[in-house]
Amino acid sequence: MPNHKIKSSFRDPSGFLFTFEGSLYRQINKSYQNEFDKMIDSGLYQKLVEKELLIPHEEVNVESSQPKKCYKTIKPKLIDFISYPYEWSFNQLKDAALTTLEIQKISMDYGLTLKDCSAYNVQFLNGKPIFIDTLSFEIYQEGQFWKPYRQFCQHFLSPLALMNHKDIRLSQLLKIYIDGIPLDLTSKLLPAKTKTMFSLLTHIHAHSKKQKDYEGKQVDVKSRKLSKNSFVGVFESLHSAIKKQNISLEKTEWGNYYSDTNYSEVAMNDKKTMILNLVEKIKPKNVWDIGGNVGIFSRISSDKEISTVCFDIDPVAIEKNYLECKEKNEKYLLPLLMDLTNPSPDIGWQNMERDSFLTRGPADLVFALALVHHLAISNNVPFELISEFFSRNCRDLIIEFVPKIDTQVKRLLSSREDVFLEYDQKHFEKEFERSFIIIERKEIKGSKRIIYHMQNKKMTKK
Amino acid sequence: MIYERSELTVMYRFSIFSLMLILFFTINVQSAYAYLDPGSGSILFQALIGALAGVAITLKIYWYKIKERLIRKKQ
Repeated sequence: MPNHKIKSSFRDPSGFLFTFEGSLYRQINKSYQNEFDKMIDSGLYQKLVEKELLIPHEEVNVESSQPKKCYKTIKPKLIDFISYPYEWSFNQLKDAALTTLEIQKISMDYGLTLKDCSAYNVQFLNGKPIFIDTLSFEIYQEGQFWKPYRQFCQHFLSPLALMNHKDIRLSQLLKIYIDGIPLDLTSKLLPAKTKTMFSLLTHIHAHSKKQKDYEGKQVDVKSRKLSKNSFVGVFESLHSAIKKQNISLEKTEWGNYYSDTNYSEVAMNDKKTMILNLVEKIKPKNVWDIGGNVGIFSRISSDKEISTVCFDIDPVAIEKNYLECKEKNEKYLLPLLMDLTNPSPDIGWQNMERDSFLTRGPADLVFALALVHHLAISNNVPFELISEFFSRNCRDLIIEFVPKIDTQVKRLLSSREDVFLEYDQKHFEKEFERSFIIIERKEIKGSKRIIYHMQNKKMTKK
Repeated sequence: MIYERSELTVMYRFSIFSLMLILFFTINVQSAYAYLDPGSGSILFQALIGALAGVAITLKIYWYKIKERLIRKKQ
């Protein structure tokens, strides 16, 4: 079986990622031999792995597609679910930035430094950010500049400053600018008061001005040297800049969803028990809780040590969820920001560098709880298309049908004409039965809502 | 003259800010030789940031020493 190069690692001349017989490998090229050996022999790799800052790997013998270039092949530990910076909450991005800087700081003690600081080099494993690019290190040479400075500012400081000082939704700019938000744009968007803040005045505003001044100019950079103190000063200063970025959570539409709903305690407990029983019956390897808000139901599966991703459109809900995960040291739950009506697309070179939401599926089990009425009524998506969407991303589905008599549906219809004549249980079942087999249906005690367990006709049990 | 802690912090911040402004308007990198990509501004800007950070760290150390003495004197 031939091996397949992963499209996201084409930029790095030090090696590349590939899959072979269903497993993921990384080739290390001969051109990176010195750096790789230094990283291992100096003890840096061991130190970072012990501190759970770098992905562990094992050296293996796998046939290379480029044997002439090959020095070694490693098999890194797999990440349950690959996520991207535009799907992270403010604190997830901040923690990823601090992890990157901690790695940089430790590397200096071993005579190495980071050669790039892409936010895409960080993933979440066991609830914590971890660096996944084993080839991002180079040997520190006295006098050198810190090469990833601009990239770090674009990937981390820019979005964090914009989310902090302008609007939490501006992290979405990362979806457009794959190499981070350009500093001149950040400088224009940030409010004037940020020019009185030392860290943002220097790393964003003045930095951007300097970039403009030297754009396209011929400059002798090789003859210039940066002392080790100044070199350390650059990332120490960035560390303090990142630390200063903080947000306060405002009340959002769904911020108090669970206290605002018409759920009685009896109904809530019954719903939780039903979901728990179904999870125990289905025994999934992974779960996606779509529209999971602050993760109340996600925790039913993650508490059972099942890898669970909780997607929601509300950045504040995702933030609250992440902070709860951190506080409780939860290892199996990953909250991510996702607008289901416009989910993350395939982006980057040839649309192949970063995978779309659907490309990263399907999941063994999807929860779609208290979601259908939002898709069907607020977003005018017909049942037929909702069914098609779920048939593309799961094997088993636990879905809640919320009838028109429910106060939440009445609320959605209160400000608009009711053009949803086919929004009823009969049509819901008819459309879903095109792609799914209904295994079980049960009314939640004390409400008219119905929980269904369905199985995808196209997918047989793994 | 004895200063309050908050006044000292403001003075410290003001001195850093003034120093930064002076450096920002006085340091100018000469152009010459090889062509560089638009990242060259970022590379060269580090000379300024690094120098500032170095000065800031030194100032911080001395400032804490002075502050300690002033507070001790006040007590």
